[in-house]
Amino acid sequence: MQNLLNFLSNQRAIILFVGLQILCFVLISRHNKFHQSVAFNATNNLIGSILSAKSEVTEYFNLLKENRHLVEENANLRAKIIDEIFFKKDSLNDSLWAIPNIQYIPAVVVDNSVNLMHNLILINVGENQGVKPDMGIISSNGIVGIVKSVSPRFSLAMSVLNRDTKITAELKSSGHFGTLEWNGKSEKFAQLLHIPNHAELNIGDTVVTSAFSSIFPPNILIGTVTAYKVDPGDGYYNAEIKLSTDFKSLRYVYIVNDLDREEKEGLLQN
Amino acid sequence: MTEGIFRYLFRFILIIAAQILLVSELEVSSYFHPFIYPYFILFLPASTPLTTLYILSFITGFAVDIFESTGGIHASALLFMAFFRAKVLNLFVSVEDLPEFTEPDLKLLGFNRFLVYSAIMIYIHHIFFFVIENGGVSSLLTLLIRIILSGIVTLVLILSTQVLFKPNKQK
Repeated sequence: MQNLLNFLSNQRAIILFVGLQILCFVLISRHNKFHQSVAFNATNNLIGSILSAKSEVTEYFNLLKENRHLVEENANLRAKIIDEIFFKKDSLNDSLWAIPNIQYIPAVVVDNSVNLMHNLILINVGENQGVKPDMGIISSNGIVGIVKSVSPRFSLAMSVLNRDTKITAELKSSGHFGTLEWNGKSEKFAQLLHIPNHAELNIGDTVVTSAFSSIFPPNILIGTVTAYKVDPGDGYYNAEIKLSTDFKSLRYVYIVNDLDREEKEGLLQN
Repeated sequence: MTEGIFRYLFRFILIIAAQILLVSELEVSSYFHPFIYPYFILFLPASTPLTTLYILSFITGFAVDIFESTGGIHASALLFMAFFRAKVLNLFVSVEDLPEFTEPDLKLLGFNRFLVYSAIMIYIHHIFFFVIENGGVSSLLTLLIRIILSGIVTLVLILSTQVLFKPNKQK
């Protein structure tokens, strides 16, 4: 009798173990597939608030670096204004190019990781501030990621350092474009794939966001080419890109809200 | 008994807080992702019933999952570790002969056995965590480096936590 009871109680444990593992894998796959669900992730109000409080403390350790970034950005913007006002050598009067109708929503990174294969970024703005899924995120140094799910007060975004993130990017010099992906190896480098092999590619070339993307504004810095080789499979170039954004000390970012986006996508769908 | 529950509840909160606020912040590179939370399951009393162990593992892992937005990867890996706990522990001590509520800690096992016990358990956890996170065994070399490096740091963290907190536990 005792043996039977022991046997049953052992089986009970195994059944519980298998049941919980199934639950885990349902949670993992649901998390990967249904990006809009916000019930059990960091965009939850309580979890988000705890992480915000944490980031307010850790912010102090990066203050110096952040200040330098902001000063550099200020300097660049100032230079641009002077260029445009005094020398009129700008794109504003160029009738060939439509001025992008873009609104930038300032945000603070509340939580961020670089050491997973699917790194996510939590930011402190959400639906209430007009953030929607699939909006791009940039920093003063370059691109950061793409918003994946939003709650009223927080948004969760896929970092460039996420193996599911794919961004259309182009070589600034020639305009040839390819797909930016991340192979999970280093947080400093991403890979630009499928560049046509007739493109002229050099070490040190600048890679920027493509004008064909509805997620990012054109000409936002991504990084520079540090190495490239021909993919023996399809004959395209694959290049190693040194990312301009320092993902380890990410703090102040902007959400890109392309106000013409619905119109553009409506046209493309028809 | 109630006192014991509160002690473990307090430890649970402390360990989750340490994981979220301190250890997860150690982002030196993408090869390096140490954990402290397996500590909670490693040093539950040796006589903890399996069902309780599994439920606690799920709760602990899932708490970390919520904060790290990882779905259920931590919970799954910790459950696998819990699954092997009794078998690994029996290699070092005869669990049935221990008084109730004895923790398999440094004091009980001695340094060498403690180190091997922790290392085996931590690597079980890390292998499952990083393989699930990687979505399989693709880019094997990177995967192995991540498992080995992170495991070493986790081991050091858990070892130093034991050494630091040991005086408190000896009543």
